[in-house]
Amino acid sequence: MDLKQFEIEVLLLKDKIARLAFYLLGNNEEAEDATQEVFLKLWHIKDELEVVDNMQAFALRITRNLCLDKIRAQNRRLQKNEAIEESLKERADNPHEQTEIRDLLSVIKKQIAALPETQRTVITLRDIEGLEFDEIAEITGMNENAIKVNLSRARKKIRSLFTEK
Amino acid sequence: MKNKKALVDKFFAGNTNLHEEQMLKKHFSKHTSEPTDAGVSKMLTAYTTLAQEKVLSNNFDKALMAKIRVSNPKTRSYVWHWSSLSIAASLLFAVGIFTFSEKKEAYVIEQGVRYDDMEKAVGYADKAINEAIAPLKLSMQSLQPIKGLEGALIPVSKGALLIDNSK
Repeated sequence: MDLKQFEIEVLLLKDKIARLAFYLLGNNEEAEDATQEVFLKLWHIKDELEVVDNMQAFALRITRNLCLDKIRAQNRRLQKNEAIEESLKERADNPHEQTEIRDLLSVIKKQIAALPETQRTVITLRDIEGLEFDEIAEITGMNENAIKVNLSRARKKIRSLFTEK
Repeated sequence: MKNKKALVDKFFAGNTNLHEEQMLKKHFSKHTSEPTDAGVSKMLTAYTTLAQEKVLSNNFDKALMAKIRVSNPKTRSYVWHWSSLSIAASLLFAVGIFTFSEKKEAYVIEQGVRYDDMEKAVGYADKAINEAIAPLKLSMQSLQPIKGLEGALIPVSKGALLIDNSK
């Protein structure tokens, strides 16, 4: 695969890769760095990409693994979630803040970020990126049933933002 | 929308397919404040917007491509080849200048005039030599054999004489 082909076939996945990295890592800057790292990894194995059936699933699996490595290495997930949960608690106390779409997006993003990693990955890939279950299975290595269970839990937790008093 | 409640329940159980989820998104984008939707409309509206969000900065592609080109072994080898060629060319140029500057020039100075033409230079050199040896030739012609020794001189080879003492 040459550089031109790489740009056409692989680089177009950049936004999906960046969003998954964002929901896993929690901020734009780190997501951008991770996205760049993913593409450099993909470029280094460019000759192997010729035989990849589903480039999107392949690239997103690399993204997820890379982000999980970063989270593990920095051991920051707990710290981040504590901060997010605190912020969500403040928001839930004040339902008027949730009327604006900007606030709504912000609250939902924070709620997604507060989910356990598996639920976070599954809801990002399904509800935001619109991937089929078999693709999510390829990316996460989970079976379809486990994906549905995690998806259901994640959706209910997000819904709780709007139903809990 | 038929069976909306059942479809919403299916959605929260994680059992809807992508087509059904699209139907729900479409429905709730038009009916944003149904009292029974339990936040579904907000969730689905938010998902649609989040799916369009850009995380990357505008110069991401440019920066990435620059890094890829630097990391590309092929590009690196081209850079090395061009560097090698430049170095080789510079060395050849330097050697050339040195060689030409060191080259001895052939010329003759005749009566204060410098002649760089090789043929002329050789011609003047011959002429100068002939002029120099002309008096010597005249001297040789004026030599006379010594009386009584005429037969004693026997030529043995060109350019040499042997004195015969037996006579």
